[in-house]
Amino acid sequence: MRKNLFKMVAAAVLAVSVLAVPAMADDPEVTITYWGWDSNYTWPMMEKYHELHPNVTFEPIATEWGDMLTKVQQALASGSELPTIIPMDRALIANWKQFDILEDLNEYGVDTSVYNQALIDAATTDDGRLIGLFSAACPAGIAYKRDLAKEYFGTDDPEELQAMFSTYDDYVTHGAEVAEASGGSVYLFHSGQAVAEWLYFASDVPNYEDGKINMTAKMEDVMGKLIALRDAGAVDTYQNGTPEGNATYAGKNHIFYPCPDWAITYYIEANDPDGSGNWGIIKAPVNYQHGGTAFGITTSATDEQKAAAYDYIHWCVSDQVGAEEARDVAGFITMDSTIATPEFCKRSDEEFFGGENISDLLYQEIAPNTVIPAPSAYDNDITSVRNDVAQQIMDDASMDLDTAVAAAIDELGQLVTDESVTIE
Amino acid sequence: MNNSLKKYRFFWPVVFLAPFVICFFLFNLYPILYSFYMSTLDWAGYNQKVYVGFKNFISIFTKDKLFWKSVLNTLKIGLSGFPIALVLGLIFAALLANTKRFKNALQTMNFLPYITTPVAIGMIFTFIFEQHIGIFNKLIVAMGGKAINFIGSAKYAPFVIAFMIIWRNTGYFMTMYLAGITSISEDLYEAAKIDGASNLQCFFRITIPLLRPVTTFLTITSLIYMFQMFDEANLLFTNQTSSTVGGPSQSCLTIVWNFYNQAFGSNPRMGYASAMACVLFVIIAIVSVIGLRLMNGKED
Repeated sequence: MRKNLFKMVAAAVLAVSVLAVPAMADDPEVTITYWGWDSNYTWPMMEKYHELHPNVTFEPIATEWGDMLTKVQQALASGSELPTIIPMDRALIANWKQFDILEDLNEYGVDTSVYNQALIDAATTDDGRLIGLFSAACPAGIAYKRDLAKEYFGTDDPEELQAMFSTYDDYVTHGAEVAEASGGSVYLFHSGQAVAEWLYFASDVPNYEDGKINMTAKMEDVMGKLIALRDAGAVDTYQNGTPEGNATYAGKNHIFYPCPDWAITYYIEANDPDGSGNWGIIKAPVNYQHGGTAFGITTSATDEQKAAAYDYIHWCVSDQVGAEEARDVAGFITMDSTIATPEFCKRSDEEFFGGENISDLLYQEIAPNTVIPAPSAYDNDITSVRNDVAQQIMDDASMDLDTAVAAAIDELGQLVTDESVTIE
Repeated sequence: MNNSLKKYRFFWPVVFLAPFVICFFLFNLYPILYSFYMSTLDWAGYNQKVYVGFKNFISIFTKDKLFWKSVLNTLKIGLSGFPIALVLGLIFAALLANTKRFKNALQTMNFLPYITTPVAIGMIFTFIFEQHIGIFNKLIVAMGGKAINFIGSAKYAPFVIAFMIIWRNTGYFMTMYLAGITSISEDLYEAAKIDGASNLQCFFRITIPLLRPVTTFLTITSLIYMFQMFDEANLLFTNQTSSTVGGPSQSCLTIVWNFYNQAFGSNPRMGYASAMACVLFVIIAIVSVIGLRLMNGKED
């Protein structure tokens, strides 16, 4: 009986391979070139795709996030070859639209109705061309350290803390209490730049409207809250994203960290590997998203490359196997609503957060209820100014809102030299 | 003229000079001339080129406050760093010239910063001057002072870069001066000693005057380097999440950083940036000529 079963299985395998081999042999060999960052995500995704489609080979070249736009500009100016696939950060997506080097993915028959509409809009040009697909939505909350929360707020329960921190004013009030109780050694946040970044993404003031950059309104919204927090003694003076700033994740002096879902892997778990069980997440007063990368196909690629590249990009986002791979290797949850069910979105690292159901919080409560302001070509300049002014606010305790806004407008005016744009 | 003479007068010189001349035209002269051409365009680097004449230059001289701010920043940082590095290089060279033991080891140690990659230097100086864990601030706090946000403050940040320049270039200047000192005849020192000159008098009356060609070379190359400064400032203020263009209040925005941001920023203006490069070219040429004239004039 066993022998017969073995023979049957062997015959079936042989039959499948006989049928499969000619089919694979018919597929043309394609090489896809890629420039980009985030090798933790893209390299394993490409390897997995290559396993399933051996005729498609990838040639990835690691390119820094900050150098990506420059590298492509230089290639265009010098007439050099562009890669097949280009990753585009959400902060720069409007600048990528200006290049006019990317395929319209609508022409590939992509069904945009299953994706997060705000992210589709962000990647769509004024004339309706979809230049990229975002690999994931990036819902964000506020992460906290349970031991410090218990010490200063009397509880580490996310629901109780959520009730305590439901408005921006709550952060100011409790920040002042923590500063007083700790003698000024413990802060709610480690960096003014990190707070400004959070407030910037949570602000519904559009950066740009009808030839005008809304710098005053945007900065009043962001810097006004930062100044209130600074004056309450709730914010420390670390620079965001520096090794020193990142080391505070494992320290005992800062309670809260603005936290998009990707920061769980890249910042919290990476910088505080011994902190398992000591972290929790609550919603910010306004639900927001932070980050995200769209993948597009260059028009200069060959037809075979374009077809294979589209299939790969679509596989990453809208194929069950691809989306699972993205979730498992990098914690990226697809924006495809037909796949991103509550069961699918279940993160494997909830134990790190004391067993809190952060998956439902991020992907069921926050993600569907966020507002994403329309991107503009000036977002990168505004971000640079935001970082600088936030640092100035933290460096000079006497800097008031009017001075901060004036500094921001002056600085942006020097960076944005396009005469058709006004800064108000 | 017979054939073999012609061969020696024309053929072989042309053959030997041709590789250099061709490379010079292709890789030096053509890019320079092309950048002058680009400076008359309104062009982002990827779109349609529009000829605008001297509009870019007029904007630089009449409207662009940031360009002149970047010129002042460059001068402030460079003039705070290079003269000190030159003096220290000279002093170290003079001391090392008379050192018998560990001369090579000391020479190598001093030269090491010059061959360290700028990326590593940026990281090292971030760690040294960081407000919370930086060694410099730890020292200040240990001595009873208050930690200073050197890198985040417009008041101090340019001087951190100046310090970086001193640290990096002193060893190189020292090596150049040391080479100069070894070429000074010992007879001069011996004659001066016989006449009763002290070591200090020998240094000021013999060493320094005879090192003038080295000083001229180092000063001119430092001035050119100063106007082309980019890495030092850029690396100190660039990270993935809190990058700023020009550091705190743009106080560390150098001319080349400003040019780079215009040429390859999120809204590139290749034509305008080329005009900036042309202005920078003229500034460097003028400063170099003035520097050479002043130094050679003194020598005459």
